[in-house]
Amino acid sequence: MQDEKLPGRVTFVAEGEGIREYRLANNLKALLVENHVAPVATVCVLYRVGSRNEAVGYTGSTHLLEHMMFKGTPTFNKDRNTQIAATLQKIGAEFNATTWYDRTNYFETVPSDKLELAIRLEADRMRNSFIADSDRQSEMTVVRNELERGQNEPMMVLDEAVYATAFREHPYHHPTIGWRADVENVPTARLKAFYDTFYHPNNATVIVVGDFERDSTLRLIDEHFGAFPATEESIPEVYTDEPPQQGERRLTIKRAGELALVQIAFHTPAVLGQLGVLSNAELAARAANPPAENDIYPLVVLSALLSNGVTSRLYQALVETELAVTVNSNCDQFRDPGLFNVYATVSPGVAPTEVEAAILAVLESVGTGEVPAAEVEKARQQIMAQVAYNRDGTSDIASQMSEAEAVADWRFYKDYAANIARVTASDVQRVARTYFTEDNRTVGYFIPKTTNGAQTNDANGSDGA
Amino acid sequence: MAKREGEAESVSSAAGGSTTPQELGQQALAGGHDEKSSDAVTPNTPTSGTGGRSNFAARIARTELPTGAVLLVLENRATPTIALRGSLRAGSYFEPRDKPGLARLTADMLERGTLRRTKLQLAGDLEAVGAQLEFTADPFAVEIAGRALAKDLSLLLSTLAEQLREPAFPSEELEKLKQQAIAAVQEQQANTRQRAYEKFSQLIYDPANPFYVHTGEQLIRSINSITVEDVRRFYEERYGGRSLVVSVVGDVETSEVQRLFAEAFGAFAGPRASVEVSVQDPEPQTGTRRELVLLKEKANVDVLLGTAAPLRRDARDYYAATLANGALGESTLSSRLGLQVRDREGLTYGIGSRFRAPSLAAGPWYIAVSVNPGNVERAIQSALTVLRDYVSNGMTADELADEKSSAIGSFKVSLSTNAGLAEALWNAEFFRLGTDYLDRFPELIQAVTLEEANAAIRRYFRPDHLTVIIAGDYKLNNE
Repeated sequence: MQDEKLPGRVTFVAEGEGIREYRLANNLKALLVENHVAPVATVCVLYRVGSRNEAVGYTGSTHLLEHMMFKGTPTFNKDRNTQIAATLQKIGAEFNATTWYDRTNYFETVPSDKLELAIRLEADRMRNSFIADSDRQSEMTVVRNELERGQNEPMMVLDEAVYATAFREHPYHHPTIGWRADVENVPTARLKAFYDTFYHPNNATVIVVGDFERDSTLRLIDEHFGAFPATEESIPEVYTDEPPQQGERRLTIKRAGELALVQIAFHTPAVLGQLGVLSNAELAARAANPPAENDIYPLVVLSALLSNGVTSRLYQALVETELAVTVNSNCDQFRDPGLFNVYATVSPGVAPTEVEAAILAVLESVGTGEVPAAEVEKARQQIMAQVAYNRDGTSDIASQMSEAEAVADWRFYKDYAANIARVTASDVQRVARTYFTEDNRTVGYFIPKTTNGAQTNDANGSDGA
Repeated sequence: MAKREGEAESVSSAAGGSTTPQELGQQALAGGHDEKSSDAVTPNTPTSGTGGRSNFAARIARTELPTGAVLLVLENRATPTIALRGSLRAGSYFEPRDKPGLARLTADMLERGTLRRTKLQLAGDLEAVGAQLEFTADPFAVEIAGRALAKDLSLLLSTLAEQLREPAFPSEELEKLKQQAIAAVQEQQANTRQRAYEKFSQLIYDPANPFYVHTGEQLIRSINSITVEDVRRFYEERYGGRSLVVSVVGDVETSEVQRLFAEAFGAFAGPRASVEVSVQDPEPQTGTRRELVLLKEKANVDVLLGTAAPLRRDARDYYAATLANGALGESTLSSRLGLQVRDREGLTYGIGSRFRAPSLAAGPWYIAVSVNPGNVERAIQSALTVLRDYVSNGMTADELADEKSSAIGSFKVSLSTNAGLAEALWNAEFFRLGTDYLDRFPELIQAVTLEEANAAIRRYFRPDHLTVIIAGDYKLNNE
């Protein structure tokens, strides 16, 4: 299906389930979803740069740079009374920006008559941000306090340690917030270099969802984002593969707290089923033509079957039996191979070793025991209902599309429900046997100390609480 | 796509939410809940399309059963889903003084078995189709939140009715729930934000006030003592159709929802006891006091500065007060406090001010700020300087205009999802604002004058009469 009257520099590329993909002459990708349910629209700009693009000495830079992107441009700044956040706040926008392993995104949901302002502002800061040293100094302590808030939470502390242990070489080793000393000391020039390396139209996707008219919106995108040239040099690639893990890894953190935590992680494939790091071009080709078999979908169904709701296997085996207060699981859906995690909060007076053993027994039971078709059907229905809920509102749709673009492309979002629907019980059993192995796992404990230094429940369960 | 909904970053309460660290792992520019002054009871206020007045009232169907139960329905065919929101007046205000936690346990027990089905059967029937139905208790209401695919409307409403009307309260389930509730309370004792608010509430309210938060020790003792008989008695006295409000928004036929609702709740009589709320506001605080809650090995300190604020949802100056707070501390990125303490001085990731849930009674107002232990004094002084200047000189006409367009725009944004609409409909009914509230909101905001906003600033923000709580690994100067 072709468009009748596209602006000069815009090319129509593809269409599916209401999502239309365009390309500007500078290689910016634009995705449009018209939806006239309410008089609002969401604009989301995704940059293909995340903490996976960082290395020793500048961990956390992607995120610090994201903060700096609110410090202004010659057009939007405090001196002119057009500070970015204030400009968005006063039109009632819901806005924010987030950084993660694979990407950085900037987004706002605005009354639809303010769409032009949102597009103009996002285009402006793609290339015109100040990134001043004085701003970095004050923003560094803001970000450091963000880091400190995370350090207050035992679950975050344990998760960080598990990733740092499971990933020895690949940059998922370090957290997106960065290591403290790097956050404190990274020079402004490094942030500026990051900006000038990655913030270009040919490394970005602009997503617009909601109540707008297609032709005029394409013209706006072309007018504002089309003004910047593509980079002459190609965007730097990540090529650091994580070698296969050869043997279980274990870690323990002892710190002030109340309840013990257990986390068990297993290496899994990347979101398109690949077992290693792909270049941008390789990833785009694989996303456009995904493999027929991809273990990610059975792993996602497996996670739902294990921990989604009262009827799930882990809930029944751990919470119902009062070994744990809560239990969750999650399968990473990342650009590069990630982890399948199980998290449990240990009940007071119970030994973490007992919780670990109970979790492992459940994981073992999937691969070796019965998995009734009805159980898989329930898990699939839960995921597909969630997919439907996530289409309620322009902001959620844009957010899901942005995540898909970061790890594969928008087709991953479009085809997700259909791919989940194809998963069978034998797929689920096969992935459980493949990935839930001893050599492939990392086990972490958080052991709380009371204020006087005693432990309330130690690893072996002698109970002081 | 299973992973991350919503803003990452601030960790949810310990009470067993299903969020995993990886879901929280992405770093956002600004944190979620606590910095925002949007209170928990009202939605993020605002409407009206590109110019014209909106007309939600004509599309909202309100019906009342003879028992007093009220249903609101709004058809929205955007997605094949439905959102349900509701409440009963059976929150902690109504529980016996010596049984804190009873209202919450009773609400939680609704999901744990009925006369017809066990907990596992109830959960199994909902989970098989990906439907969700949850109960929580706040100071006044048992809040109901549900969602389902549109085809499962009947299942959602009949399950809700069964849980509300025929709970079984099995004793072995109560024992398990008590142990889980106690563990959750215990876990929260390590949370700086929770501990700061707990201490703050204890200093500004007496234990009879619905906003008073008991200590972990008191709560655990009370939960331990609660019996099935306590739960049953509370249910029989406090639950009934008279205070039931339910809103349903989504891909539904209005008449079908009305028929199912009447079938489900037509005979839901009671409650025997009154559902009216009458709370005496505390005497205004004089002078400033400061207290420390010591929590070792915490990298971040949470600070609260505030006081009891005599603002109720039906106050004449409610909108003026909301706008007055907006310019001071609604946004950690662009309000006065955020611009000074975060943007200029870099002292915090999050600072904001809020009225906490002005409702059927007046709740507190406070500034919340997170900070490195070394910057506590500077952050407090900086926030107080901003507050003093605001109270002395008031807000400007430009600021008020910006706050108004912000409130109206964000109200419009909040009405763009089934869940947002269901919340707004429920809110309008709970506070008796009328079904045309969604349409009138912009006018209510526009009507606020600069004089009214400045009067609200002087009335509610009192920089020399504050309770200041510091929670974390910190030492007060005089210790």
